[in-house]
Amino acid sequence: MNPSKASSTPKRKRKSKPKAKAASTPDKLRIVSFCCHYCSYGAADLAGSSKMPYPLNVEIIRVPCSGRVDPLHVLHALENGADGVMVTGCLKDQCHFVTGNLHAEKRMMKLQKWLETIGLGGRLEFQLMSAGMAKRWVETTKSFYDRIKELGPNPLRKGGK
Amino acid sequence: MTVRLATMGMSGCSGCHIALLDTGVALLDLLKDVELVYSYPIVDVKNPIPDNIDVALVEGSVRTDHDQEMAKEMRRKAKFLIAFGSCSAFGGVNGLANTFDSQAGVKYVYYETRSMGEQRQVPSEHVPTILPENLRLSDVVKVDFIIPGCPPFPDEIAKVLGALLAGETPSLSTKSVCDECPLEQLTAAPTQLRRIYEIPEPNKCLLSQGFICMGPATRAGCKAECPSRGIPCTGCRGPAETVWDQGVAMLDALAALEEKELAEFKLPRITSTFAKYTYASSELDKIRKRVKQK
Repeated sequence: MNPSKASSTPKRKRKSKPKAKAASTPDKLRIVSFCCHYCSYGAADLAGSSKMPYPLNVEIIRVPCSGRVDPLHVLHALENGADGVMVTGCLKDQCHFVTGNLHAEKRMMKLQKWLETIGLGGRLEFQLMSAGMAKRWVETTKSFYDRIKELGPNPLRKGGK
Repeated sequence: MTVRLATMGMSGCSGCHIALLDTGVALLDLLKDVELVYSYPIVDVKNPIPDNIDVALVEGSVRTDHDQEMAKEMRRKAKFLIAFGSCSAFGGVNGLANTFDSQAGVKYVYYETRSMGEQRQVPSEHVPTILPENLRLSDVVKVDFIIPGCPPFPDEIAKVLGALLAGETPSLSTKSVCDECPLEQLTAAPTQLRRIYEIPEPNKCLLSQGFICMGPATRAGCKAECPSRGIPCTGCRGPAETVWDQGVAMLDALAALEEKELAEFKLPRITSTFAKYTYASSELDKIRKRVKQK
């Protein structure tokens, strides 16, 4: 084998992988919002279609019911660098699955206490709203965004600040 | 051919060693093929760990730098390393120390307790340095198998050791404690929370009666010894096979069971109830450690 032959083959330049799109917001804060399909997703949808502005940082994940959200989902989101997590469900007694929102509320209230003990207090928000409450959606996201802005970015975010 | 067995204790209570002795007749059968080469709680000699160990049972969590060194040395010398007991496997009750600052504890013990007398200083000799975190064995070295339990059940120890002697791969139950529990299952959700000192109705599911029983999230293999005697499970055998995090799973399950009264009840120490034995290996502690590092 001619050793020069091997070296003469042109090295292929690796195509650089397309970088993950950074959040398009100026402060790059990211808020993960779990919205239930029947109410709060509708509220967010209505807020959009009626052109009510709310912070761009909120990224919506639609779930069948707020009772579907396991505390582990919230922990994983925070572990992977989400600055805040919102869980929103239907109003009391209006849950499509009868008690899903009540179960979610109990879970999140206790998880909030747990998060306080590990230094991530205030980064979880739970709200109840109906599909027509676009205004409430806007108010909730705005006030939560303000709170996260005060707290600053999540210390666990990849690549530092 | 005799199998060279060693046992070692780190930060623990030696209860797992007592459980090993409690295997009774099964231990006598095992000892025909086993040579116990190193075991300070049983043989009472702290000589250096001998070489060429086939199976090592390591009890207790890694709390001091001495534990860390011993764990690493045992890993170098042992072919098959077993985390013996819940402290070693998940961090155990010791893991709850992670909810406190370790230096504050050291300060309290050596400076603030009355019995310390005149000499108020942290000793620099003869006492190993305490690590900032309580670690489980698998945080320090590679672990080949775990025998969970606080303490582990003698039958299970004999079963695992017997399987190893026969050249088979040992296995643990993949079910939850509820699968083995003899109590009558009730579908009704509890109407009120009850504490451990109250007397339960006999032969009925404790969780349905309002006792916080960790059975659903806990690995089976104990034949539900506690619930069948009317004592709620505390989850000493760690998460069941399909459970990611015992504490979070239990929080999830209890929210579904709770009625209004339960919702208003504030668990004073959620962590020590739901993650009593597994806090040091839980998702929550993982996040806490990373937050602390930053």
